[in-house]
Amino acid sequence: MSVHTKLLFIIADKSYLIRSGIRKILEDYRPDAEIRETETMIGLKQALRSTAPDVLLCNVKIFGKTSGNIRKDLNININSKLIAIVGSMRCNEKISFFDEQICIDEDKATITETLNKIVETLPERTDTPDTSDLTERERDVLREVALGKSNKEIADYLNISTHTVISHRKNISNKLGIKTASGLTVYAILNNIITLN
Amino acid sequence: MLISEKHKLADIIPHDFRLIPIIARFDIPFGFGDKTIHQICEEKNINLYFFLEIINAFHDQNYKPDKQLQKFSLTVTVDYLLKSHRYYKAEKIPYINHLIEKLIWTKPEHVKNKSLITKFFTQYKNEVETHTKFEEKIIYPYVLEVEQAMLTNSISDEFKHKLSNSPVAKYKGEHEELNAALFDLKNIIIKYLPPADNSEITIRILTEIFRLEEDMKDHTHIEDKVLIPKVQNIENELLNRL
Ligand SMILES: [Fe+2]
Ligand SMILES: [Fe+2]
Repeated sequence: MSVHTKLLFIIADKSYLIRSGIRKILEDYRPDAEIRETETMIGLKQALRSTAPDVLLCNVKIFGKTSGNIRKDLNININSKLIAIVGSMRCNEKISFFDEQICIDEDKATITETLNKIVETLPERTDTPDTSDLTERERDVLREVALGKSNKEIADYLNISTHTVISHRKNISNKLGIKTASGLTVYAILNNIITLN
Repeated sequence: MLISEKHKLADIIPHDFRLIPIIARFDIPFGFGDKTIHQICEEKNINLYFFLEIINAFHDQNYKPDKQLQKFSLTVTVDYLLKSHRYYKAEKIPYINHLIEKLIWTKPEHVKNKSLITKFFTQYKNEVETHTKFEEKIIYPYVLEVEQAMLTNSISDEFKHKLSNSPVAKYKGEHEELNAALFDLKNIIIKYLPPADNSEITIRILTEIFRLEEDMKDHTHIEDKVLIPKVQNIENELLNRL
């Protein structure tokens, strides 16, 4: 699962037409991106509670009359980029707290260009890692899982907490794209981490 | 696209061929000419609105069926779920199994691959078997009993006991495991398994797994998001009446 490497966009706008239009442009621009939509402030707050988007595209109107520090109000991660969705007129000056703005009557190329400008400022993405990217500890845990041990047994054997074992297992599953214990066993045998006998 | 009763079924299928097994689950044989969905449902005595909800939900992942589906009787829903069980167990899974049996690796260092993948799939097959059996023997009959009690407004002592030990509460979560196994199988084949000598079989297996996965997700969605909440609503109402 390349969860860590996929770009996450959130579109917050009351209008279905505008959300769908922006989604289409985003999909054409980055087919591999994950795109979420929300139409209300409450929905946006909920979405932000569980994830930090790479880019949040947000209609200013969604905030109602509050025009204080949006980043602070919404508790937006400092690494998230903010793009304002504005009506028919592009403001000349920067809208405070937003990194960029797109205007709904701009053509596709212009909007794509704005998106690209923002995405290029994001930190480098690495491709989905392969096994060699498993840390030594993760390989240890993987081996024990493949041998059929429980989390508790692994914790005792490696002298770490069960909690740590679980967190290693989550990372292993994310890196390999394999969730079940039997799937991990197959992987471990294929890669000679354990042998069949 | 929203599929409506006015559409001709013959026009819908080329538009989305993944609907073929879904339609088959309603016992609609081919050769239906230019009949509309409305006409076919009437002739075959199929609940039209249920049919439309099911195929729209499958056709468009953004379609929100839950509110509408709540309106149908649990009997209709259970009947549909049972038919999809039959489809998985009697057709899809045996076919994938058959394809896996046909895989060939000749290089000596690769011979273990066949037994690895066979074993993994057999385990999945057994899990599906256990899960669906539990649903067919325990969950579905209980669901129908709950609906019956609601309709007739009669609760026997025996049923009262069942109601307070509801089997549906603790059954959530198994679906995630089942779907995870298919997810793993897909990735193992795509990313890690050394290619078999007969790669055309691998292509067929992958295609089949993707289809089964999609179908199963839809199935478990109906169970988790439609069937169970509805049963729990009725349970609460019945318990209040006691
Ligand atoms: Fe089921
Ligand atoms: Fe199920």
